[in-house]
Amino acid sequence: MRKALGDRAVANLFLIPSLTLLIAFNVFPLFWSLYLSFTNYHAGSPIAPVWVGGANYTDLFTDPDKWQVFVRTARLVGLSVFAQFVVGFGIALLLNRQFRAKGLVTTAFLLPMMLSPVLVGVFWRFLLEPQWGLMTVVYSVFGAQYTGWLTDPNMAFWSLVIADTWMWAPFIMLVSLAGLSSVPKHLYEAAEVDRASYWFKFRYITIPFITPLLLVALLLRTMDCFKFFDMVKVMTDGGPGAATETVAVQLYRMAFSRTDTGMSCALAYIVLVMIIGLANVYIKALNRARGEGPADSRPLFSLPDTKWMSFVQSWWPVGFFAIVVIWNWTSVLGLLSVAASMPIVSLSLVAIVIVCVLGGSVARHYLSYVGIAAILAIFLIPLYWITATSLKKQEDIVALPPKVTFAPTMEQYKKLVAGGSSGTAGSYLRQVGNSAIVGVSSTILAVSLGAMAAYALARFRVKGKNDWLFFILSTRMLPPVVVAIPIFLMFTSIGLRNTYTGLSLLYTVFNLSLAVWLLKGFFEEVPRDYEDAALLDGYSRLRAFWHVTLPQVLPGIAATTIFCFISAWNEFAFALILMDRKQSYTAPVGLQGLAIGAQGFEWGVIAAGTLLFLLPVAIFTFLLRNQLLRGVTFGAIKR
Amino acid sequence: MRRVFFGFAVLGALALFGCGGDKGAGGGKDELVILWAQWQPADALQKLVDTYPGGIRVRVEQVPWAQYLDKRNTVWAGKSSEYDIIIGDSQWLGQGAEEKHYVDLTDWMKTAVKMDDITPAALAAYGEYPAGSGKYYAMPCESDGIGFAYRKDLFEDPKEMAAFRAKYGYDLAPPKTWGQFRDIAEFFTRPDQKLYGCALFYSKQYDSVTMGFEQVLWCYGGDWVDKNENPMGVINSPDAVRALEFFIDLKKFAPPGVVNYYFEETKNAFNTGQLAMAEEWFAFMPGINDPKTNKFFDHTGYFLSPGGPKGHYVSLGGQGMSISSYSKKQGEARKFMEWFAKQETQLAWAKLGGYTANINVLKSDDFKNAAPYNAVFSETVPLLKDFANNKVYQQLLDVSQEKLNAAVTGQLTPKEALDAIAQSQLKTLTQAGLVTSK
Repeated sequence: MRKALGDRAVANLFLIPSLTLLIAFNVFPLFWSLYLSFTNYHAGSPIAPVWVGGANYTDLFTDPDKWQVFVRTARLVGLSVFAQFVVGFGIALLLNRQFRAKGLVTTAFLLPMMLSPVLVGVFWRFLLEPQWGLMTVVYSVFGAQYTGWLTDPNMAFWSLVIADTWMWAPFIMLVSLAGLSSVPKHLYEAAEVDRASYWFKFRYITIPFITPLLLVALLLRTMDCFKFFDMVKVMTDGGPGAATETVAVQLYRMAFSRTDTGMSCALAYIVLVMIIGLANVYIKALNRARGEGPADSRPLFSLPDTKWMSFVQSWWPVGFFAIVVIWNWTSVLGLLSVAASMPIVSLSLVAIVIVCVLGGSVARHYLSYVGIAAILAIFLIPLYWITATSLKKQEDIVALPPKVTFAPTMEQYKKLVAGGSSGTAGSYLRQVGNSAIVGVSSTILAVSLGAMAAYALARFRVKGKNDWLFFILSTRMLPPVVVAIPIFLMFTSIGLRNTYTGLSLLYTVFNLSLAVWLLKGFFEEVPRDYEDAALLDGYSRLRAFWHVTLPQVLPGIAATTIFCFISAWNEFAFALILMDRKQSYTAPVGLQGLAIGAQGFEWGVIAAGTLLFLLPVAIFTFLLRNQLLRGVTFGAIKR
Repeated sequence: MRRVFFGFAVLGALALFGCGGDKGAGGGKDELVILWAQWQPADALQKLVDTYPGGIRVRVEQVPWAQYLDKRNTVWAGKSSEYDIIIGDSQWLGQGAEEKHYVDLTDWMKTAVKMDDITPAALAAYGEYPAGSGKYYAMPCESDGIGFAYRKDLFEDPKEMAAFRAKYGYDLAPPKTWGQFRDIAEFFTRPDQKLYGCALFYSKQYDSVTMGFEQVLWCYGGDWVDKNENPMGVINSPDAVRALEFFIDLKKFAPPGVVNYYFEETKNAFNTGQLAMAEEWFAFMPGINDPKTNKFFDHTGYFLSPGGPKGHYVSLGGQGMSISSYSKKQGEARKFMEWFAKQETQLAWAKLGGYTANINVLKSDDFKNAAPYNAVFSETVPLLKDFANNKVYQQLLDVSQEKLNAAVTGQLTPKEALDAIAQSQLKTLTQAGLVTSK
């Protein structure tokens, strides 16, 4: 009879693979780039790195343009996350009721976040095209003319905010919806007995209950937004001038266009330090929200019980709003002036919001359906336009004025499969196959390794547990560009470039931290007693894990799988850097390349490719939608 | 049973490594791979090399323009042997030579290629580094420069001609100077008819606004640097400021959104009938000279990029053909390039639409008649001038792209933009040890 593994052995067995991967792909490159940041070095140059001390840092800190870049990035992050929060939470409030086709509507709202960011960028550029873009049509319908979406410096910035909001508000919506549906019904019932107003219930039941969860979602978005790269690169390339030059774009430009390796590593390190600061705040907030903090800490947002604190607690969203608006006042005015040129739409939106807030419950009830329909329409118009474009003939795509009705044709899909109109773009099907290989294998790996590590961290006393957790999470926070150069050099030297293995391992590492954090919450929810009972029955720890605990967390595993798959399936930057040949490109890289093809902009082909590429994720998500809703609570809400 | 869970993990690993052995496609041992951008000349080159009799398959790997530079950088940084021949932009030469990514071809070319058959200007621009050194790292492949397409039906309409004469006092014809260009652009700008006078390269993409501006700069008597490679007081001289003011002023006569225009956008705008005159690289002209895409195919003419008050220069584009230092088939690559340089191959190349640098082919009627704009191209060749091609050109280009585009979009005045460029480029050139005296 074999001896069952002890707890310590299981813990090690479960933790070590994940930690090894993370260390190999994060810590090692990090030290390497730390060294390079003190040198003058151009990757690829035969001249070895020359030690220059802190010269790179001095250069960066004394360059006023770089300061501008940081301020701009902060503004972009602040505004985008704020807009996503408002829109996403708003939609969730509207959707938080029972109605027919709710699953379908919810999935429809989620479509934007399943797209590849780089393709979203390509498409928004197309939508905002001053001559024949969709926005021009919409504006002309209302008799207005505006074309400065990507050419006016202030508006280009807002266009990025709008596109990013379109893409990621659904994420906030999903999380909010999960939170809202987890608020115990009996609380509302009790309030109703007391004839509490809608506002009162919202303010004193809903908000306090879901605040921790929203906080987690906000912080996740903040971290991701800091890495905002793909979309900016293709929508504006940091222009006009430097109006949308973000840190991530600058980093990429330095590292890969100029191959100014030393300097770019220094910039990457500055970013890293800032993010570690952010990570600390995040961990503290999260621990408090979950009541896991140090013994003396109380739940978040009820810290000292003073008047001042309760004031802050009630009004922090308003304060946040005010700060964001005041900080960006002139820019907001610019945006408003553009919105004002389309008064009917803006006014009716404002009217809906006002009635929703102030109207009676019957009015609110019907209006919320109107609201859902209106917002869903706005969210789906870009997708409709992509679909329409994929079904148009080449002439119709660039027709002036843009054609709303047209004779559909499969021409673009045929061209897509044939490799663009010149047939040299490489095989789309092959590229989708590459994406599938890399996406599926990295997802399986990330979820299984993540589940093991999460279980170990949730169940066992692990030395330095919080440090490990912090380390794991910080790997999620660091913008991939920070480690891009060392990883590139490392992959080159160990022969992982141009291999699916290399790309898969990399995506596994990128997703691992999310997987660990998501799943840890789920494992913690499973009562220890279940397992103890199984152990008493003679189960080994591993068998108990497999037969008792794992089935309990399947919804969490489903949700994690979806998130990991979406991000691996859609990744762009590393696939571009690490794969040399068209035949080994993943689909997002191949499709982005078509944006400037041999025959001009192949919008139709890109549209067709984007849609087909979206299909598997959309179906997958629709099937698992219920698990997804339960899965995104991040374990932040205890049931 | 407990192994089942590991089975799950192992399955993942298997899925990973099972396909991991496949290092993408290609990388065949019996094929020569050429790296080039994705455009029509590369299609033409593929057709040409399909006839290569050297007993090895030659494949042109076309990388989209949007990814071309980044791809080259990763090839160089990773010392990738995926590509044997690189067809690189003229500006790349310095970095390619100094960092030894390109094989030194000086001795080989003297024996294998008839050097006298190559236009000296093209040989210098696409192959020689440093200038005047007699050392070669590339052979001209696709020569290129900026030209203009125009709408003959508008220019030759008697009513338009009379109206133009009445307004400006001279006859309407393809412009010879930038002054005339401005008048004509103004004349044809009629937003109510969705017609605009012209569209130039203004965008921040790649090298767009720099290429669009620098030829106006030279025509106005300005330059990037002086003889000592010092930009201070040169790129921000009064002439240069005037040139930029003029260049930006032309934006008035262009369609909305022109500040994001490069070769694709000008071509699209022209082909859909929005422009009287469109700036375009000659190598992209096939996209205009195509009845399938150009609504005004029958009414399209071409003219030489105008001259200015103080000179006549045209921005040089185009690419030379180099052998990658990391190629494992350099011998085969040399044999191929020897074949490519032969006069009959160059003639075939020209007939397919390629821009040869072979003197005899360029003079031939075969070439001049191969496309309606080829005669204009021949006039352009002696006027071509290049941006810096030293090892830090990318830094110089980045700053000129950002600041010029900022000036074009009104975020900086022309003077501010050029001062900023001068300052930043001086720093870059000094650090690189290229400024010989201040």
